[in-house]
Amino acid sequence: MNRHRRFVVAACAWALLAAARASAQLAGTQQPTWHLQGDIDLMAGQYFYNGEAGSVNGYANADVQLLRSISNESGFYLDGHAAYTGFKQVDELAGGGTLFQQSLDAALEAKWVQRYEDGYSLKPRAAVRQDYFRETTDESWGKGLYDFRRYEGGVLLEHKTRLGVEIPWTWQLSYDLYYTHYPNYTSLVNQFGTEQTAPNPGSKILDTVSNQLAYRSEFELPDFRSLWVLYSISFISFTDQKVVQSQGQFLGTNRTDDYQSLNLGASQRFDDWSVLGQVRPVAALNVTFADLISNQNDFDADPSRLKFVGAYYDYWEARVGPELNLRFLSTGATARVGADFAARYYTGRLAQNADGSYQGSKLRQYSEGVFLETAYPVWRGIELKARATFDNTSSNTSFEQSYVYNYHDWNYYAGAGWKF
Amino acid sequence: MEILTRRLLAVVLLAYAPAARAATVITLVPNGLVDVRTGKGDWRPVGEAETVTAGQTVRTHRNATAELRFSDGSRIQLQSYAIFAIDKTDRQETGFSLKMGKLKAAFAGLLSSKISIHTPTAVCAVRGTVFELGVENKNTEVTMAEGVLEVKDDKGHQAVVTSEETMKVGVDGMEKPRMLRLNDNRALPAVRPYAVHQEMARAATRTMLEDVRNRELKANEAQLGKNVVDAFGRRVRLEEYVLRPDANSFELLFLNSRQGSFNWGHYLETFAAPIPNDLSQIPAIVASGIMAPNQPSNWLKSIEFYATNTLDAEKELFSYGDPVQINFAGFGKGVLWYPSSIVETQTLYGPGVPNGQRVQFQQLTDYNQSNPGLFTWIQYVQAGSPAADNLQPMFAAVMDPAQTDPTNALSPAKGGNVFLLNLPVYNNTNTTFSFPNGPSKTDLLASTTYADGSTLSVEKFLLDDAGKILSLNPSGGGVFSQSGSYNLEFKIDSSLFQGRSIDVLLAPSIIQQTGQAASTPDKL
Repeated sequence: MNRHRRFVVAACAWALLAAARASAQLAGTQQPTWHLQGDIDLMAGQYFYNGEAGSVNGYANADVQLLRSISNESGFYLDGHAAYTGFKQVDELAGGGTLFQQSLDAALEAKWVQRYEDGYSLKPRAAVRQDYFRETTDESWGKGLYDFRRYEGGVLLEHKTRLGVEIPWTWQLSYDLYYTHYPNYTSLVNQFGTEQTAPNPGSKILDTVSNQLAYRSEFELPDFRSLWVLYSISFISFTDQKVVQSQGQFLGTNRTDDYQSLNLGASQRFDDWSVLGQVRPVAALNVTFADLISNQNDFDADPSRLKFVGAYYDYWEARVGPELNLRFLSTGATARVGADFAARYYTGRLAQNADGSYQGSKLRQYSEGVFLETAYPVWRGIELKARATFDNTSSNTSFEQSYVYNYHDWNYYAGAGWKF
Repeated sequence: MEILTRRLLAVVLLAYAPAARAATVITLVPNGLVDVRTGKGDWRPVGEAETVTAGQTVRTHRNATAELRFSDGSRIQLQSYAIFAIDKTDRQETGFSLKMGKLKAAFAGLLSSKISIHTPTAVCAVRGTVFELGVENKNTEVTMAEGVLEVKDDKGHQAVVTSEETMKVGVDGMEKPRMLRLNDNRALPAVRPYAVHQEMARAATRTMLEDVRNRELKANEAQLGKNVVDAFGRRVRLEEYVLRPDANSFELLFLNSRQGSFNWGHYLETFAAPIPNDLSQIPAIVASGIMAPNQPSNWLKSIEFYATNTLDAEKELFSYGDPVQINFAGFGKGVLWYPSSIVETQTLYGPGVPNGQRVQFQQLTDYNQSNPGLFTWIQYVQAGSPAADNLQPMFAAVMDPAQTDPTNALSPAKGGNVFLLNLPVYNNTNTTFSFPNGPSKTDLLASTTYADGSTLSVEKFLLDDAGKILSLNPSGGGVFSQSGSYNLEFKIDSSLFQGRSIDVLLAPSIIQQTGQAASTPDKL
């Protein structure tokens, strides 16, 4: 397996370099240049979950890009990312709050940029990402149930044009393919298939192939305003998750989901404030509408309830995120404060009482969060950084046997960052 | 606390805001013949770098250039034959005028709230930009390298110009900005830092959507799957499934995987007639056959609880006779429908069990069959040798459910008549209960030694997902009446299991919310 992985990486690198050489020969004019850029953060922080403090632990993040421009027409870049979070976090990885103690993720992407006259560009890409999660502190890395690896490939068509004389307009049309593989998540029934014969929910039931189509437009407006809109639709096929029917039996049909999202963003830079040595404020607002439609249902296996719920995963949600960025011109320090409000309405999933009995109403989930982050430059690209967040999630369901729907958490972390 | 907060706030503010922001300092660095003048005064040559201020104008001659360096890192390079005025440099606005010639500018954008360059035909508002600006015969040409610039003409039109765009502004107004040709020497490399940052920010939004979608993943909800820690600190992967073996029954299958071991079991309920597809009606059907006022149309026939480590196994089977009408006056009730018989059988399996399997304990209950009009109980236990199968009666009781006279030995108030059928067996069958983790913890150990010397013990825990043993419910209602997100673990040991254990872990609500099942582990 490792040998296979090394071969894939080597093949990708060889293909990129070969393409770069060929393109340079065709262009023939410009000397290819390398450029390295990135930022690295090292921090320590603490997490509080429902008032319970976790231990102080570390957080590290590194993003590095290696750019190689071959000519005005073409070039490529490699993007490497790695992050380690040593303190607890709630990650809605699995359809409800799932608490992870520690996480580690790494990703590598290669993107080619091919430009044409009149503002057109074509940008194919390939990437691989690996995420590790530890649910308990004694769990070994690589053994996490929800560890996953994702292979990505895509192509993007971009056109930089104008809306009349006044407004620059860049639109992008993209197609991306994601294959997400959970190596450790295999249904037990299939692991012990010789012992059990009856149910067949599938084996690798979390693995998916996702086809994402997206369209994005962005506009630079006069008076320091900008606006963008993104529409995305994903068609997701679960490669080995069978649909459950009303009697709790599994059909031969695999689960499929459709997920679409409309994101709107706007920002406005205001006149500087003559306080604290001059402060430059930029306000931003993000609004998202999304919905998910799935053919998967739910069968509550508890014998005292034994409830079939159709369209269990279907929901729509709205999310609003105002934000204010401040730049202290005299010192170069920055501060960012923002909030996030979201409401999710499940169209099939029923709310439950604490004992698991079903209510007549559909499940609704609300979340509110605020964050504050700041950076203070100390020397060249090195900054002192601090960040704090608070989130509260509530719902009309009290049953939290499998997943947590009602909780609040906050965390803080501080440390140093280096931009280069 | 408030004082501390105020002090902290003060420290933060001081850190972010030095006593006073330094005024903009502009250094003029000449290269060749460069003049400067103040207001309408005379031009004077500049020999070396010097500071210039608002109200001064810089002029470059043939083959000469000049660079203006600003305290925020911004730079303006004047080409030859340029005339450039510094109009204003206060905090709210920094203004320049390019009266003729060309310049290249790279602005960090921090000089003041607004930065603008005026030409005879245009006003360019800077956002944080690298660009070229040229004035020739009252025509202005702007060419953006990287960033954003806002350009206004004398006619009131405006345009936002972005990277690699060029436009002209004449006395008749502005032209539409256009992209530079790729072979234009002002065009930029295809891959460059600013463009990559921009591209990555855009791509991050799309990838984030895939991440959000990925979070919706969950195992098929017919299984209750989770990863928890058991009472002994071992990680357990738990899955549960509901099955329909036939139209009259349903089965709950639970599977536990630990490192190096696999335990599983099932819970099976069978009814007299087909049960509906909507299994949420099952609890009502069960209730309709036990002390029910009306004759049931369907009723429970059996419950089976089975747990195994794949070699050894333990099974509890409850079989129910058809409901009959019984007068429960002795219990303060009327005539109700109740099972005509209940047979509870406990069976052990495994390579160490005589003949591979044997009944370890059995209790027969009937109404009106052994004794007319009476309830009869008989208990059987193993009483031979551990290597043989020798089930013997130990104990019996008879009771009249209609008897309301407390002086009558058959009345419920007296507990009915009790008969010891085999005193040595009774004396040599002992069950003890203990709380290994203390009386306040939900860790109950029930151990039975049978007359044949064989033993069977069941330790039962209530745990949270991290394996912490819970405290007893202080509000009462029974030892294991906790509700919420807890797990129930059974560790079953027997002298017949050759040193192996059965260790199964279930979602708690399965047991706690089903009366029949709840009684099962207590009787093990």
